[in-house]
Parts: sequence; C-alpha cells; structure tokens
Amino acid sequence: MTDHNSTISIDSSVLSTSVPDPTGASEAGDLTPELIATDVWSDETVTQAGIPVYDVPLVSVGGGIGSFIMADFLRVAGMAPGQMRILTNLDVPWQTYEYLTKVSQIPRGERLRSDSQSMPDNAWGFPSYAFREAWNDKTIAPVWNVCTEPILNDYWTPKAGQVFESMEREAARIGYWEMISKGQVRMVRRRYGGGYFTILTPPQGTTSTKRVAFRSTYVHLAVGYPGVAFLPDLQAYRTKYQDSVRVVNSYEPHEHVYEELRRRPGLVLIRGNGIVASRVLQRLIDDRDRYGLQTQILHLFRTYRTESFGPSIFERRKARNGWIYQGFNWPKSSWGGGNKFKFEKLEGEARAAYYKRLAGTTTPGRKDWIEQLNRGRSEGWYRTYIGTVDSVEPGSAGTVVTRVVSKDGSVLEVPAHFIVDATGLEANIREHRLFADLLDHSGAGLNPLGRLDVERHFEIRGVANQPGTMYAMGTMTLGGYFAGVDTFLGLQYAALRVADDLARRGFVNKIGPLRSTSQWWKWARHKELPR
Amino acid sequence: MTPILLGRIQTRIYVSLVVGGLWTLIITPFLLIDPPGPQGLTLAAGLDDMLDRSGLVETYKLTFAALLITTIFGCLVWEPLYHGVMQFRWEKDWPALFNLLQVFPEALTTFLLLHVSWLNPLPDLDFDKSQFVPVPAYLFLFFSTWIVTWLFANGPMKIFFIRWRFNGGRLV
Repeated sequence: MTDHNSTISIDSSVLSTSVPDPTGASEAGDLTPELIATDVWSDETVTQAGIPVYDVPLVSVGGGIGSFIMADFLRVAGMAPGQMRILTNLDVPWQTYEYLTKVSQIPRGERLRSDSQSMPDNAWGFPSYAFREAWNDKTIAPVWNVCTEPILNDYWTPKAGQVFESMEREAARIGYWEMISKGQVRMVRRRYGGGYFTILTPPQGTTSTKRVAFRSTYVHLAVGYPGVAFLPDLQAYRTKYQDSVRVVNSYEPHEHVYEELRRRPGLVLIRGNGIVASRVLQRLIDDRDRYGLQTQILHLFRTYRTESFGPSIFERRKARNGWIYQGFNWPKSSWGGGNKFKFEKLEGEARAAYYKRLAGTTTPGRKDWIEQLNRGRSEGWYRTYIGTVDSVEPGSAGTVVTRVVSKDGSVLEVPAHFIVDATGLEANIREHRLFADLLDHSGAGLNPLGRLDVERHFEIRGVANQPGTMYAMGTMTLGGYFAGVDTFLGLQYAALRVADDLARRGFVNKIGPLRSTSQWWKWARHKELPR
Repeated sequence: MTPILLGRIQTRIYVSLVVGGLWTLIITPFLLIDPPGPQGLTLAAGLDDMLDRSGLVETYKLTFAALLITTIFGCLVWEPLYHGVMQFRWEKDWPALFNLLQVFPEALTTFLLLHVSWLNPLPDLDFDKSQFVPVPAYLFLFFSTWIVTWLFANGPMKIFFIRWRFNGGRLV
C-alpha cells in the first residue's frame, strides 16, 4: 500500500501538546528489553521494571469520537464512570476530526457528509440533528428536507459545529472528562492470568515514572487514522524539489493556496473526485465569487464517467461530469439494510470482492456544487482533463507542470501554480505503532482488505485472553463484516455491538426497551448520569 | 429507512397494530358518519342503533377491520412489491417520502377490500348487498392513521428499540 515516506502524519502530536519520547535507558519506570521482547507479561515483570500499575475493568485507547461513543453507550448501559479509563493525547474527542474537516474545508459553519440521524451525542438517533436545528432556529425547513430527501431535496446534513457542540454537552452529562488519562499509548500486551496491560506514556513531568500501566480485563481500541497518504507522483515531486508550498494535500493545512490566489490570479490543479475535491472546489469558487477572483481551475480525472453505470439493472449508480454521486461513503443500506446483512454473511475473498463492488470514490450530488461547476464550464474557468500522470516537474514562472498521459497515449503538459491532492488515500495499518505491536506480539491478524480482523461484534480475533477481551472499531477495521466503520453511525453500531457483548459477559446491563426508553428520557431532559 | 423484507413486515405489524390501533381506538368515536337511514351526518359516538346493534360498536368493527386489512394485505402484497421496487435503487433504501406516498394506493386497496362482503364486519345495512363504507370518514381515518404511524416509525420508534435502525426494521 503506502510507506512512511508518502504519509502525512495526523498523529495528534501535531494537534496538542506533544509527548516527547526521550531516549536514554536509565529513566525510572520504563519498558525493559525483557518486556518489549515478551508477548505475555506477568505482574512481576511489570512491577520489577518499576512501572506503576493501575487497575480498571475497561481501558479505551484513542479518546477520539470512537472512545466517546463507546463511553456514551456504556454509560447508558449502566456503567459507572470509574469502570472505564480513556487513554488519549487529545484534549477533546472531536479534536482530530475537527482538524481534518477544517483543513479539508469544512469549518464549523459548513455541513458534513453525515446523515441527520447519525449523532455521536445520542445513542438512539432521535430526535435527529435536523429536528434539533429546526427547534433551535424555529424553522420547519430542515424537517421538510429530511421528509422529502433524497427525492425532492439533497440529503440534509448537520453543520460540523452542531456535532461538536452537542458532543460537548453530552460529555458533561455522562461525566466523560473524569474518565480521561492523558498520554500516548505505546502498546497493549496480554497478561498471565487473563486480561491485558496497556502501557501509557504520560506527558513529561506529570508522573514520577516514564510509563504507567493499566491492568484491565477489557481493552477497546479506537485510534482512528494513522495518517493520510499522498499520491506517489506528488510525493516524489515534494521529496525531490523540497516543495510543499505548491503541491499540497487537502488534509494538511493549505490556507496559503487560497490566500495566494486572492493576491494574484492563478491556475490550480485538483487531483481526485471525492467529497474533499468537491469541498476544495467549492472553496475556490466561493472565493472567486466573493472576491471577484480570476482563478482558473483545472481538474484531473483518472476515469471520467458521464452517465449512470453498473453491472446490472439492480446495481446502477449515478454518475455525471466525471463524478459518481452517492449520499454517503457507502450505499445507505450498508449501515442497517440489505447490504449490511450481505456483508455480515460473506467471508474472505468473497467479502473483499463485495467491498470492491460497492466501493468507489463518490461525492454527494449537491445542487449548489453542480451549479458552480456548470457555471465554471460554461464560462471557461473550470476545465477537466482525463488521464494518468506521467510526471510532475517544476515549470516556468513559478508553476508546476503535470505531464498527463491520455488513453490514446498522447501526452499533455498541464501547468499550474498549485496542485491540490484531494484523493485522501489512507495509510497502512502497520504505520500505527500500537497496531504493529498488536500484530507482532498479541496474535491479531489482518482481514481480507489488510486491516485489523474483527468479529461481527468487533472483538479482535486472536487476542482473547480469558476472561479478557479486546475490541476495536473505526477505520482500522475496514474490511470486516460491517462496511461503514469510519462514520458516526458506524461507530454507534460498533459501540452497540460491543456494549451488547459486554452485557453478555456481565460487565454492563443490556439495553432493552425499558432501559432504552428511560435512558432516552434522561438524555432528553439532559439529566446527568450518576457518577 | 433501509428495510429488509422481514423488517418491513415486522415493522408494519408492530406500528399498525400498536400505534395505529391506539389511534383508531381514540379517533373512531369522533368520525363523522352519514349512516343509511334518516339520521344524517353524526359523530360515530352518537349513532343510532343499526339493526339492534350499537352504532358505535359497529363503527369500531369497521375501523378495526380497515386496520387489519391494511396490515395483512400490506404484509402479503404491498411490502413484497415495495421490496422488489427497492431493489432497483442502488442505495437499497426506502426514503421516508415513499413511505408517506404509500398512503394513496393502500387507501384504495383497503377501501375496495372493505366492499368484499366477507371482509366487511357490518351486517347487510343497505339491502342491495353492497357494503356500507362512509367515504369521508374512511378517508379521514385512513390518512390520519397513516400519518400518525409514519411519524412514529420515522422518529420515536428508535427510543424504544435501539437496535431497530441497524436491523433492517426487524424487531426480533
């Protein structure tokens, strides 16, 4: 897949106070070579290393939206906050998410690509964001929209800010902040006698030892993306010419591109045809309209579809002007309909093949985006190219020239002042140290798509250590029995399955109709859950 | 919604019988009916006896017959049909709007089925062997029940059944 050189780190060390990892052997309470080399640890070896051990039934690693949703479901299922420890280097659960959406041009006031009923702060999906926005703004429009979507209207989606603010409110209600321990998780290892040790490196100076260990029966991993990979030809250019000003990835800060285009007219080349490309195009065109700019937009497609396509009448997908339109990142039934049940039944290569059948870079067909691009095409400032990239080289007058090879073999040189890589490729699982350790030392394996292999209820296969169980959810489990793992609703589904499994093991109560109803009523009144 | 066939059927039975049943129970006495005979337009609660039976009880029989016919005929005919139509959609979803618009064909089929003599619980009231179905009251009952159940299924349903939305509409 990808390697370290082509990956942009979105490790949260760039987002919050960094956690240095000083070398030097003689610090108190550090990992010993013996520990590092041993797959299963005894209590004695950990204490002999001088690492303090804290007991807690459940540890969640990550502290992003995945950990937050897990905590929310378990609190609803009756867990006391002291039963779960969330290990994280994030200040707030939406920190990485907000960073990524913001740089990829979805600031708080803009709308996400997420269904109205997919709400990290609400386990039930009711009342949806649309109703809540309608209630707050005293308008019926969002409700009318969700009642008629996607037939008469585009899908209604929430503003990023609404999601973050509602999560903040729910965090206070469930006592989320009390459940956090700050630091960087180095590894999780199995323990002799059952359960796991999770090694945390707390921020320097906050503890007397370099590492602390959490001994738990259950571990929950929700660490998100290890990084965003670059298109190889663009990475080659950046490395060779040391130029990360003119060639940027949409998931890294690139505000300077828009600023420069405001100062002087320029050419910008977009690579990619997914949601992020749509957002970057919208920003460029909004700026063009707002400030009367002369920005020329060039858009490079590998494949350019002009009409609906599919292997059969039952699998026709809508495509226009190079884009494939789809409301969300998988067909809607992948979260709770026909496609979800289909994925659940498939194993191995058959599952990988079905993933491939439904996959594809897509974007929602929003009316405003379609209008902007139609205008650009007719006025001549939005031009599309089709082909593969042969090379990217510096050109004259501060440009970067992309050599595009078209299908018939002819080569076209496309100069641009900026190139925005909006392909959003994902990094390899091995680039995350925690997962690499899990694969090497704890018996975890890979699924047909090369990510972490989990059961239908998101237990990691091969790492069980009775009575201990380890769960994982989020993007690192893509390729499993559930496709929409890296979405709000997917995280909610996974959290529900994990909560049900933990209920089966006696850790929490099962959320039946009565508990569900009474807990919803508490949520609706914003009643704090017992500490 | 993204139902599967079994989920459609289970959701229909639950929502029709529980929510639709409750609504029918509440609204039936307030239906305005012009029964055969001289009484004229009257609230169902104030209907004269029909052939020595309580007018209100007979109206209840009729409204619940409509509910049962809609539920059973829907499970046997309409839901499999909708399920088939849904397969032409890439997303395999069934938008809320479609669900709402189902009211038109289903109001018609239930209305016609109420004219089948063995499906209509009323005694033979109008002597020419066609069954009596008061049209304005029927339309009000059917459309209001539909909207109430539709609202419930698109919202509060999830409060009680937290797994329902992930289960293709299945309850068990």
